[in-house]
Amino acid sequence: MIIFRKATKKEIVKIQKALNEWAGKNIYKELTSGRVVIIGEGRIKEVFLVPVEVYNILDKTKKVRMPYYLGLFLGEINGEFKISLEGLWLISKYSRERGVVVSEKGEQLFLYGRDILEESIIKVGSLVQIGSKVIVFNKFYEPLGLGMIMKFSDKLTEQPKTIIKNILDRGWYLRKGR
Amino acid sequence: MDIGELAKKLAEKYGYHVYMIERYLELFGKEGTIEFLEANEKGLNPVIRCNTLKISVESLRNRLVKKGFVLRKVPWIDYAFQVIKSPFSLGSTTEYLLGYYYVHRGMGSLLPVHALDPKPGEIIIDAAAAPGGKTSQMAQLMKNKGVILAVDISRERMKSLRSNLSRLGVENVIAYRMDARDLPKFDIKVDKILLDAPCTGEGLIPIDKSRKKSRLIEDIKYCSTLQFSMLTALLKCLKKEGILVYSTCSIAPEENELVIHRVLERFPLSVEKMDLKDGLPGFTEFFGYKVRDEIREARRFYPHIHGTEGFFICKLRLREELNDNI
Ligand SMILES: C[S@@+](CC[C@H](N)C(=O)[O-])C[C@H]1O[C@@H](n2cnc3c(N)ncnc32)[C@H](O)[C@@H]1O
Repeated sequence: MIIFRKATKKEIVKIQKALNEWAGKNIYKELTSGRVVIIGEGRIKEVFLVPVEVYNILDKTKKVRMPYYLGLFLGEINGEFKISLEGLWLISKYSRERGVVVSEKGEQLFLYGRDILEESIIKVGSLVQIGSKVIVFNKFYEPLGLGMIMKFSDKLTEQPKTIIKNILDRGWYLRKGR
Repeated sequence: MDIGELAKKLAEKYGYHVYMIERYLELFGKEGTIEFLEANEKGLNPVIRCNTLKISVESLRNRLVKKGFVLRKVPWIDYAFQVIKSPFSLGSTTEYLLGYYYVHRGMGSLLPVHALDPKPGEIIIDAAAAPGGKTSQMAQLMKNKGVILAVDISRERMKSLRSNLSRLGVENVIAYRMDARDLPKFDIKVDKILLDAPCTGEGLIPIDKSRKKSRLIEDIKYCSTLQFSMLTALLKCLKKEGILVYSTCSIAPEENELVIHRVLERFPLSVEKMDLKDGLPGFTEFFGYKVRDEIREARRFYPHIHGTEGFFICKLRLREELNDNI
């Protein structure tokens, strides 16, 4: 059974650090204003951002029955905090410089779960470092998912090339989330 | 030709159980029945509901039109469009994946929430919620404020509910996988309830032809009993003067008017007028039953008349709070 409870101090520090790192400033306070951070603890720990009114219902009903889920799924804690697709949605407006913008073709392929090749990269944010996680945006700066930006040497041309490995993309809702 | 013979002929021609056609003939007459059967053959255009939690109606419309979609505004609802032509599958566009719209199979399923009229800050139970179409419609009208307790018994469908509500950015939901009839154990009283009840789904034949043959007359009885017991339990969770909207995608009066009649007989309820621009009045006499007159205020929708799936909606107000022993 999954137990839903408030996040501990230690868990909050972890979540806070990850979110603030993405935004490059302290957004934790803003994101959690009027909301409670709830952990759903089963085999893994899921993190939910829960409006206070919804939390009050959890508080009243949990003795009778635990919910299936509640609020907005922000990510999971598995050692470190891993942000979810909707978590990315929330932070994306603060995190443009930690993202890359991809072409329409790149968008389509990425949403099919594929990696992004250099040809599809239109713009790289100023805070992006090779070897780090990046938010993948389309041309409207809508977050499509999360990738890892890497360089490799092209076997044919022996030129260094950039690639973004797909970690998580919104095509999940079509492939798995039905 | 006598009714029995006609029913047999039509059942054969259109591929239905004979008992279904006999019932249609009694409810709609010969001409109405044929129009209904013909409309079922035609199918329905799917409907997309713009998720105003994430994007404006205009922006979404412009983006989809640019991609080659042909859209027509739903007459009664200003944030939904019928899809006349779609160059891509509706469930695979970037806009869908970003959570900018939800796909409904027909226009009828948008109406129960319209009748319930959820407001920001209210506490509402959605008692048969999965896969979350109406829950997410409520959340957008509530602007993600207030609480929706979304309940469904099915494990599989609950997964879809969570996925849909996540994709759409819905925050104000607490979801329970349980039998809605156990809700009184929570000992809470809410402002409004939607019971979009499990039903035989005869109204969905335009979308799912297998339903012409998949249900027996006993299924109607089974559903009617289940619906009544769900309603009875749910009324215990409603505040005094609270509103309950009951809807089904069935056209069988036993799953609709008769269920409402039974709860009206037993509980301090009134049937409320609904602000729906369309729909026919509920039946007050059918198959030898005579039910309360005020059930006329319920609304029925049909493919051949309204271009929707077959649908029934009734809005009830609870006049006195109920206690547990009722
Ligand atoms: C018509 S569908 C609901 C559709 C949903 N309201 C929507 O708009 O997406 C009826 C639902 O009732 C659920 N159901 C059946 N019996 C139930 C019960 N006893 N308690 C709760 N849910 C039940 C089914 O699993 C099914 O998902």
